[in-house]
Amino acid sequence: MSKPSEFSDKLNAEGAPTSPASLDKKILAYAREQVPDKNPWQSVQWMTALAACSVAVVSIMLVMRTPLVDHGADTEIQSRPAGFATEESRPPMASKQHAPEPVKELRKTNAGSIPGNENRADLAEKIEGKSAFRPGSTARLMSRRLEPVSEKLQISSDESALLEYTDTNVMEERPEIAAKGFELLRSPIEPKSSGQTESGSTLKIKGETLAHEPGVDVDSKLRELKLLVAENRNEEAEKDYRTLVEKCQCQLPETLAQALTDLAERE
Amino acid sequence: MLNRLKGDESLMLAYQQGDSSAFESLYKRHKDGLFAFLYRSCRQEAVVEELAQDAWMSVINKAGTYQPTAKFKTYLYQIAHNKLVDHWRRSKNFSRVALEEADLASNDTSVEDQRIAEQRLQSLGQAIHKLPGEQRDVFLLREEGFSQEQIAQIVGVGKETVKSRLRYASNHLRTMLEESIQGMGDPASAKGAEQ
Repeated sequence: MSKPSEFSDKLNAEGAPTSPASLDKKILAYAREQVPDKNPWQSVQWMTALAACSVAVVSIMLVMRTPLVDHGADTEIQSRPAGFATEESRPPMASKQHAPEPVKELRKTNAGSIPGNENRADLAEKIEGKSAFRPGSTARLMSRRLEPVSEKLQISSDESALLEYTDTNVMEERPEIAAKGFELLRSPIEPKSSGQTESGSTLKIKGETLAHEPGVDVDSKLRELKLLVAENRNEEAEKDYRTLVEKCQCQLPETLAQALTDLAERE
Repeated sequence: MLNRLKGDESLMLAYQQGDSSAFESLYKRHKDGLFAFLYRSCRQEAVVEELAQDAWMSVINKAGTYQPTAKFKTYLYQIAHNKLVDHWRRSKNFSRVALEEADLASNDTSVEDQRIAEQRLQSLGQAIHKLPGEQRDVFLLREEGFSQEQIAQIVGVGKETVKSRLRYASNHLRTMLEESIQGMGDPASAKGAEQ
């Protein structure tokens, strides 16, 4: 502090002007308006929290987006004109949990629709159980693959339709199951004339059982007939051969003699 | 209540943390002193109000970045002085114009007018107003209780410059007051001024 000068008394005697009340009000109001943030960190934290919430909401929306797509696919399937019987009997699918059911039903129905295909139905069930499809992916596959399948199944309930259907769906999901389970399913498409498949498995009757079970060995049966012929039991041999032809329905020669000739050639 | 006991710097820091009542206390402490300083510098009430408002608003706006490196009063008057300098620059050397006006008044041929002008000079305030701006600021800051170091800090010049400006200001004022008192023929007043 400085010492009072020789003019201080005189200056004070003149009276010091004071700040007017209007100015005071104005300045104090401005000060209240412009109060600095109590804690600048708080606002920063608020911003961070807001950003985190936004990210969380966006991620949830992205996660929720998948079922929406699936639901769209399901709707597409439902809205399709009744192509085959399973669609009409199928309950409406509201959520992705219902997505696998039509696949299962479709397989069962398809397998069941072919006469004598109980084993195929079993196989389809096994595959269904083993593959354990993810619901979302199944629904997506359904949306992509069902159209051609339904059309083909409408035209014919041939096994090739089932093969194609199963091929396109299961092989994409589980190649190892497809390789293992459908090796046999593929074999009737190009059977050898002798009834043996490339893999050496015994071919059974066309359009019937394709499972890996013991069947009639055509060659051994022909060998038996050959023995009968050798024993001059021709009538008995012819009769057995006709029975074999009827039962087998495969492309066997019309006559036993021709069949035996073919057998001899093969051997 | 507690704000009364706090120092200016503490109050400013409290305001920085969002306590508006701290600023009110601070304002009440310094509003009249600052207003008087500005008024004695330019003597135009409207201008003084404007300058005071600008100075306080600057304090408010800079509150967020305020750091108590110096006394708050020094900080406040430094801002006010800068506003004053800006005002002088805008009004093209206001003190010189005022001085010329005063000279014109003193050169009036009418004896009566001359007497009135001399009477005006009896007022110390008017004598101060006739000082050159730099000397007047330093003088008024000294009257506000600032030390030479603080004045140097506020005005932005060296301590020696402050000393010389103070000396010149005092001499000028003394001379002006003596002349005016001698002209009015009042020895008692002249004696008081000499002291």
